[in-house]
Amino acid sequence: MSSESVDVLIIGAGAAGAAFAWSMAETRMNILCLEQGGWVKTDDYPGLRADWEARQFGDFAFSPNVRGRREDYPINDGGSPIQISNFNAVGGSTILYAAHFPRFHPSDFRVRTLDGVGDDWPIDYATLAPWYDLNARMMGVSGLTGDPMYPPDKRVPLPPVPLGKLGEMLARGFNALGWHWWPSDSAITTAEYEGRAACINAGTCLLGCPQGAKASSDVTYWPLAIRKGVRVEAHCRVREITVDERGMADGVIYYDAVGTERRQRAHVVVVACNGVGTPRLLLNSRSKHFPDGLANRSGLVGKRLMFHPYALVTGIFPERLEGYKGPSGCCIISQEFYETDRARGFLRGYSFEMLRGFGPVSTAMIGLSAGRMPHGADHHRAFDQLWDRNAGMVAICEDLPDERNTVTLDPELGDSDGVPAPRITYRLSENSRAMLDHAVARGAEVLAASGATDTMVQAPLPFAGWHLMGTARMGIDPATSVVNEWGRAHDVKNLFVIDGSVFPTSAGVNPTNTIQAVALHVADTMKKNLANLFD
Amino acid sequence: MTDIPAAADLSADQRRALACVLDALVPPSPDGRLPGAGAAGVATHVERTLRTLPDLRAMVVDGLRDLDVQARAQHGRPFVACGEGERAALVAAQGFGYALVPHTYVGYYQQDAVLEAIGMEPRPPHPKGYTVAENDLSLLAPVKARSKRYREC
Repeated sequence: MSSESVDVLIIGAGAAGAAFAWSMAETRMNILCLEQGGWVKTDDYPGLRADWEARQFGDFAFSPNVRGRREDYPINDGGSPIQISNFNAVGGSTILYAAHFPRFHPSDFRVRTLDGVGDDWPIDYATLAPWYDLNARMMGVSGLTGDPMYPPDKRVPLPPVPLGKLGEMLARGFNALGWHWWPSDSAITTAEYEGRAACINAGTCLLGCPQGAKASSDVTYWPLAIRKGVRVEAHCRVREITVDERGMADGVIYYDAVGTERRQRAHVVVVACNGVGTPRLLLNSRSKHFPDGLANRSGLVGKRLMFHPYALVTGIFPERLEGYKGPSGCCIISQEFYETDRARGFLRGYSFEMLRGFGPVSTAMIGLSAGRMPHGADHHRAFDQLWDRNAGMVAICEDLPDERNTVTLDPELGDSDGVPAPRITYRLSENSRAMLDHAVARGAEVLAASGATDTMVQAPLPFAGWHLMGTARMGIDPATSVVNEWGRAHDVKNLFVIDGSVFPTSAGVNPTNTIQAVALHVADTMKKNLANLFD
Repeated sequence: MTDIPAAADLSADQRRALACVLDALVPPSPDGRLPGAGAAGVATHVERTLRTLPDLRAMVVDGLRDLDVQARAQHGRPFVACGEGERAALVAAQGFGYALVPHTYVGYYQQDAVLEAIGMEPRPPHPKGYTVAENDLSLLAPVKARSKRYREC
């Protein structure tokens, strides 16, 4: 491999890398993807074993610092109230995501124009709409047309996930208050679809789906891309992207599965390592042309890190809800408070997403952290009050970009190959704090309207750094952005970034659908400009 | 006792004492439907966990030894021979058991006997899954009746 130069080298086999690879495969170019994680086999998933819930605290934990697998890189997130969650594998973090799959709204691309904060995107909803449609078909998205929160032409190929007893109770609560709700768009097959089995409501989505019903990109895009000739090399961790005498990217240096340093040359390098991994790699790719990190003449690589600050409001109900049955993160969504209303005391807004209940281990641990699960003689009474009587809902708050929120290289911490680890510096904004407070109050209100007799609250939710955005933002002006409107680095014309790093703003919904739509948009634009790709 | 290598298994005596501690943390339910954590076999899970947490293991080993010393001093017999109430009081006074609480809960709520007692089938979620009732989408009528809510741009 070291002597062969490939046409396109993709770094990272997650949501973005997979969609991009599949799209580019039709060019018949020589395309290689290097992924630091491995393939997750069906038998590896916890949901097939009795100790399935326990493994959320071990080898299937959200946090790479807890998992500590060889393919994981540690993250110094002690400087943030929100800790990073990810997964390193072919499929990336889609292995563990909930598969909640909403689109951004038209207003999310015009934040500065509409509300005077953040930035406008250099592309708009109409630009991404066909790629959202294509992505829905490729991932196998379930949902329902007609949501008044979206333009009417939004389509998905499968019927919605079941609401269940719990979802219908909450729906009645929203109706009682006259608030918006809708069955969630979910990247989960509710019927057999393109060779994938239907969801069996096992409720293990956040620990991976051995059924293959949840659309992790290892079971959607990758098999098709590989069939069309794309190669994936797993357990290959890229240390840095190298440049030639002209300052063009000419390949990477990486470590293979046994830690041997190797070289891979490429004509085009595409970075798809997420909003933390991508700036880490660019900042670690220093040269005489780019002493401050690759493609970083703007100084913005690693800056403007955005999460979605989450509020978790859990209702306690007097009756059993059968909440452990069904997709664990997908049920109904409410966007009653999505668009800006200045009277609320904050700008922009948030989505409510109803989770289902929790399994018994999670119930006990959530009760313990809330001080409601004593040991000793009173334990069983306390457990019975929570078990299968709780329904969680999260508010996903739009985070505004702030250059003080950063990903930098940690001067001491490194991964198992000695590559510097990322360090997170993040402060919750006043706007986000006000939004969280509003969401907690409104969440308790709708849970009470649904029949809850008590609530438990965590805001911000500390382990909810799932959505990593903004650290290599797209824009027209090279002075204020890292990549252009189709992902090409302003400073290096054969270097592309296609993950959530490029988002100028975060919106108030899960980002994976938009990450993949952007990746498909970049691939399409590249295909249309192959003759003058580097002009 | 702390000179035992961190990776070594507990002795049979330590294992019996640990099960008694776990029974004090999660005792049998008053109606007898739910077993205590020790009787349910949670010690196996906890012992497996301790192999990866040497500091906690050392604390547990020291704590078990101290419990036995206190039991003999207060009741004239080994900790494992004390009555349920006596053991609970000794564990509460010694204090090290608190560090075992989360590991005990994690181990307890994956035991078949416990799952059956709380109304679940004693099996992992896959490959059988669960049945969930069909949607009543007539609930959406008031939402559909409202006009569009997104902003044109």
